[in-house]
Amino acid sequence: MQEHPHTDNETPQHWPKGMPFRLPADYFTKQREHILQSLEYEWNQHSPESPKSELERISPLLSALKQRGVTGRWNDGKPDIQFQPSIQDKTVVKSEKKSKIRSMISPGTWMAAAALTGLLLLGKIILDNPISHPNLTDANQSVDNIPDSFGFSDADINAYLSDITVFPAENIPDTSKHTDIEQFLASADMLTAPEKFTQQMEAIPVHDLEAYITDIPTFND
Amino acid sequence: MSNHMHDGDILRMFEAPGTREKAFEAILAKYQERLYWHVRRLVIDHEDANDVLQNSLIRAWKGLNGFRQDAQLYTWLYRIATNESLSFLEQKKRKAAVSMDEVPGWMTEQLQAEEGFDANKLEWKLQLAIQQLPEKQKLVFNLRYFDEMPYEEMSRVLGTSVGALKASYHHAVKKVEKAMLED
Repeated sequence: MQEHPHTDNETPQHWPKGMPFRLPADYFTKQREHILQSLEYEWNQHSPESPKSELERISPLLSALKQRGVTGRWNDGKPDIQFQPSIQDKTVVKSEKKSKIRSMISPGTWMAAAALTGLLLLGKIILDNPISHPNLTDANQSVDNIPDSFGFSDADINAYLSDITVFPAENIPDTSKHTDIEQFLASADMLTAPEKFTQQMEAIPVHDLEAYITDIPTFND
Repeated sequence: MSNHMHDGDILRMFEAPGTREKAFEAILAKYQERLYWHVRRLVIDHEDANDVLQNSLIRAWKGLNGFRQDAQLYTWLYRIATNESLSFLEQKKRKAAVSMDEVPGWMTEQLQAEEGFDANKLEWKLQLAIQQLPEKQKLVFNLRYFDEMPYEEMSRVLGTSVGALKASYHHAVKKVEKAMLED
């Protein structure tokens, strides 16, 4: 908020500015804490933890896992995690068995691709050879002959069009009803000359003012 | 107010990943209270205002990444809170099957249900009169009268011309004055 309160000469001075509404004790402090708590999750989402701090945070857990070993299984829809007593380090030997490499593309995919290619080729053939229907040709010819059937030549139509009087732009009536009010209000200075402003406002018919205010667009409209 | 950080400093803090949370805490410390009152004046009920403000602030957090530095932080926050409040009221009206004509009466009922309501007190009378205003005029009146927001800033919050806002405020003041005299 700006630091310069505006004295309103229009508003009666005896009107109160205080709020009669009641508030629970410490409401603002409690609400602030509540909002900050609600946003904590968002903050964690928007501010991902750095790898270093994450490692530092979980290092005790990692250490425990290494020493004790953990097994887990689903039990009645819930994870059942158990820490085992110390386990011995085991050397894991990689399997030397070679796997057979198979194509990732299934026969169904090949068939779909073939069908799609066929459709594209068919479409191209149709587009390259447009179907000429005898009825369409007749219709085009009849459209070309319309002026003749009415007895108008191209010269007649051109003469008619050049005779049309264009309505001059300056003669178009101004349909804006509230131009005067808008101009007055934009330049009105109610802070330095409140009496003059009030007199001028009073001079505007109430009906016109109501209509003007009602027509004002706001972001909510 | 003087203990609060400048918006520019807050936004610079937000740009550095390590100080983002601190930047948002600074936003809460600076704007939470005034945004709450802005929302509360619109939705009336405290629990509703609490929900709306919370949604607004979470939305602000999510949108801060794309926040353009050429816009002012506080007008942007007010805009979010205003949008959330109006959307909330729309949903609430729809659920309660309240028509446009019934809205002032419906809002008055909510006001009367508030704890400590006293129709003889000037503060409550003023709130009752404000509830009779159309939605746009109510917004303009609240931002101008209670938040003392300059018209130029208000124009950015509401997306309306300064001239239109001056007319709306003038008209709202006259209506509120009349309503308070009638009571």
